[in-house]
Amino acid sequence: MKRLLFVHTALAVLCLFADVARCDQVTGDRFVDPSAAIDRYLAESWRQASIEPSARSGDAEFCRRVWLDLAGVAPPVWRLRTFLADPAPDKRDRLIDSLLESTRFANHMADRWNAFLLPAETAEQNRQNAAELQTWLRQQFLKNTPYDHLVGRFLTAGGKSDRGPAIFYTSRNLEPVKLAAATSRLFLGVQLECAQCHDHPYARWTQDDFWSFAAFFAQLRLSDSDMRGGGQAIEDRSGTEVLFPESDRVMSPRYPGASSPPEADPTDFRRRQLTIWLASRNNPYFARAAANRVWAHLFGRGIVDPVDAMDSSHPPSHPELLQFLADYLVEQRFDLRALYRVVANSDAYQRSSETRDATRPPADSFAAMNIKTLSASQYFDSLRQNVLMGGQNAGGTQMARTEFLRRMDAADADSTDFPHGVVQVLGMMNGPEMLAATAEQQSGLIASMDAPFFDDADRIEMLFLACLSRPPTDDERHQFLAYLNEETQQSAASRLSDLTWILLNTAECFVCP
Amino acid sequence: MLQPPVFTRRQSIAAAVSIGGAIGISPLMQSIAAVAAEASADDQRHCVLLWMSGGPSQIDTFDMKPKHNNGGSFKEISTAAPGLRFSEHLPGLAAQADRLAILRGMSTKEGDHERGTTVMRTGHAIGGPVRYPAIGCSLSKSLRNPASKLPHYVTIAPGPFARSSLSPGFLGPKFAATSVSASGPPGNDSFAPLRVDHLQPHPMVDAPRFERRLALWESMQSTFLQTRGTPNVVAHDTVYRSAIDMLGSDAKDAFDLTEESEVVRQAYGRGTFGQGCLMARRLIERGVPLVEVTLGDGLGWDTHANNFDQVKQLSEQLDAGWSTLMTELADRGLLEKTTILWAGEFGRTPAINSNGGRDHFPQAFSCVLAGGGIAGGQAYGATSADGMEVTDGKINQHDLLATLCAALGVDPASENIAEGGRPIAISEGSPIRQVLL
Repeated sequence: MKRLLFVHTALAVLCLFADVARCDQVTGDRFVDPSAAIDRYLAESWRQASIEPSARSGDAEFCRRVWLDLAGVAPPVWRLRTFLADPAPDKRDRLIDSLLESTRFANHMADRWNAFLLPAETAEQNRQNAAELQTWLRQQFLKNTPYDHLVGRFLTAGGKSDRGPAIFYTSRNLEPVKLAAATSRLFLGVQLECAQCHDHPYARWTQDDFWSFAAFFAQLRLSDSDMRGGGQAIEDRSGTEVLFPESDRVMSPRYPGASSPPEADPTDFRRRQLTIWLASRNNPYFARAAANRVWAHLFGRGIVDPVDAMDSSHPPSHPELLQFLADYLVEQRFDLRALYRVVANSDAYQRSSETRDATRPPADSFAAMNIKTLSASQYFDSLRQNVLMGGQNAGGTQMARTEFLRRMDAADADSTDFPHGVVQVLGMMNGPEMLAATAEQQSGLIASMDAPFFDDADRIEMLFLACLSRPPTDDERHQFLAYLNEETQQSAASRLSDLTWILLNTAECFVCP
Repeated sequence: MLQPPVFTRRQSIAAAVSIGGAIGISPLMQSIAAVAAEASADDQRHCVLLWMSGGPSQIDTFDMKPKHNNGGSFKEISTAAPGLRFSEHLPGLAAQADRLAILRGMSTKEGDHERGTTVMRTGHAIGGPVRYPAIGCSLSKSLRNPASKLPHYVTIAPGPFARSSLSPGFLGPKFAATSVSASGPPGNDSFAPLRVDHLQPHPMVDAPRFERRLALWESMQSTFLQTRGTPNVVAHDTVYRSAIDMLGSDAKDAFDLTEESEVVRQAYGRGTFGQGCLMARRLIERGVPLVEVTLGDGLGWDTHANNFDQVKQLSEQLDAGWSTLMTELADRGLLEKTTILWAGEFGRTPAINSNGGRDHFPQAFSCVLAGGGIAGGQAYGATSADGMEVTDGKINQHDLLATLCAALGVDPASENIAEGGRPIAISEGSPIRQVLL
């Protein structure tokens, strides 16, 4: 028995280094129940720090969270009602699965990656090309392209067929320095550009590392033949080189930290050379950076935080957990959905964000769920789906969405910050989308409450489900009923409009619990 | 870091009582005076940015070349400062030239509107790894008064062009400018309308109804904060409460120009710029640290053709608005606390083209500093007789912005933290000591 176990473990370890394709049959013990493993790593850290984790989330809290995280929008009221009424013990697993398979997940992931990949102004000024990138990404996530392939395709993109990624390069003016900085941040979680001017004080990057990395992007050109028809295309042509600053030293492409040059490429296609190392399991940073981003998406902060500065000055809060997630991603052949599934199925992800006593566990302990501020698109899309409900024409709603996103733009904001100021909040309270959402004639939600079989208690429950994804507490029900029945000149519909306004402007409505 | 001044309630009430008592003004005026006293007491400094969209012609305004072919058709006039001469279309400013320092040696490398605008407003070129904030955002952050109910940075009629150059960048949306829009062209007998977006609840939501909403909202907020008071939730609540405070205070009346007399409104000029300067005065009185007023919506100063008619007309608006603003600020004792910068994205070619216009010219142009902290009545730097190059006192955008900071008592080297924890100085230039008091 002992020997068997040993062989098993040895094979599992081998798997990490051997071609994963040959390891189908032998997934080590380590990965038998990955969600439980996540919880074991965390439980151990809480025990050491004497932290009491929060309780398991209620169904409504969980449903709002998982919808906002995976679908990018609050649950539609009927889906929420069905979920709450479902007595089956495995309903959370099934919800996670169905969301991960949905086109909404692909859309939301494409939205998120679009924001990572493009500076906000670029997306604003260059809508057509930004939209092409969005489409390209959506296709990748829809097909669940393995993450290493996705990044590989992205980094070798060129020509008409995959114009989408071109804007990543053109928005940085095809400059090797900017591209090296952006790719290392995004895909390695490392700010290699700090070594642009001086050897990195914290990590072990040297200036040579940075400039040799930049040399992989030395040969990018805008392709003239593809300039017609809106989109842009790029290609690599040999000839130009990157020079070390203030010297004549031509930098040859080299992987950061490697001493020898990469294997030659038959057509000297340098971005392909880069991809062979960058998006591979031999690159110690790639899977870790990807796993850390998935974690940060679901928990509001990375195990290393910020996610693009995984150097020695930002140590991981849970190093073994991070390594485990990275290994699991490699073992799953970079199947991002699989990683999302096991993390979302962990007890940690399903803990409540509510803490009863005054002391809240630290955000980086993950012992109570962190409360994430909604992005502008999460807020608007939830509003459109649950409150506007097609009460306006589709074109008008789309314009309102663009305007709202422009006003609320907060590129690079952490989801555990509230990035907005008085300007944005005035817009929230008095802006056109709030008018539409609360106007008796325009708000689909308010119109729907006209139904004769609704009593006031039903209406109030409906409002809470639509705006906050939960039924009202008893106190709230009383307060809201009192508002509806107060002695004033106001019409019944205008009172419902007030209650909608109140809920839509609460902090609760602007966060993922 | 410069700490913004903090006022106690008692100080401001004391100030209000003494002002009210001395002059015997109405209770309403007293409350306005209280707001003003609270905000402008002691060390509150202000900055006015007069942004000339399109790139103003230096040769036809502050760096005349009457003896040269490039000089064009405008005449020179003498000013209150001996030896300093302006265009004939700037008589009001000429009379106050002792308050102005003309920087004639400005020179940058950006001759494109959008890139030039970004360089002049942020100090930096477009597209680097750092998202540099507009100088207005950095300065309003340094100068802000936490007790004030008004926004820290108000930009009036910024126009649709190059809006990203106004972005708060890595400072985050908290430090974004509040925008006042000019809706529609002025009629013959009326003043340009200026409006703050989303300042009023919807018309059918009257004050009692709004109060009723807020009472229940308040109860929902405090319940939620009790068990979920994470920093982002608390920040949501704080920002909402300051917005609600502003809606409920007199402070927002700063935006209502109809409170001013016809005579005063007329003196500033009927157009957007003139009325914007008037609004700037009202905002400064109430303690707003940074106000920007744009002249030339949609690149109005971009005079590639018919330069002289256009510059004459723009100069008249500029002269009325700017000179009346300085007079009124001086009357209230506020000019010495208010530094004014006049600038556009670049200058215009000394040579006149075949359409009677002037083209983009970043090599040698003028900016103007005025008011608080500025040694007025002088020109710093000089251009050659044909205006083609800077012969003395050459400066770039970094030096210009650093000088503005220094005039306001803000150390240009004070740092804000950019993405990734990198400290970034407000401006990397060196202040020009000769134009500072």
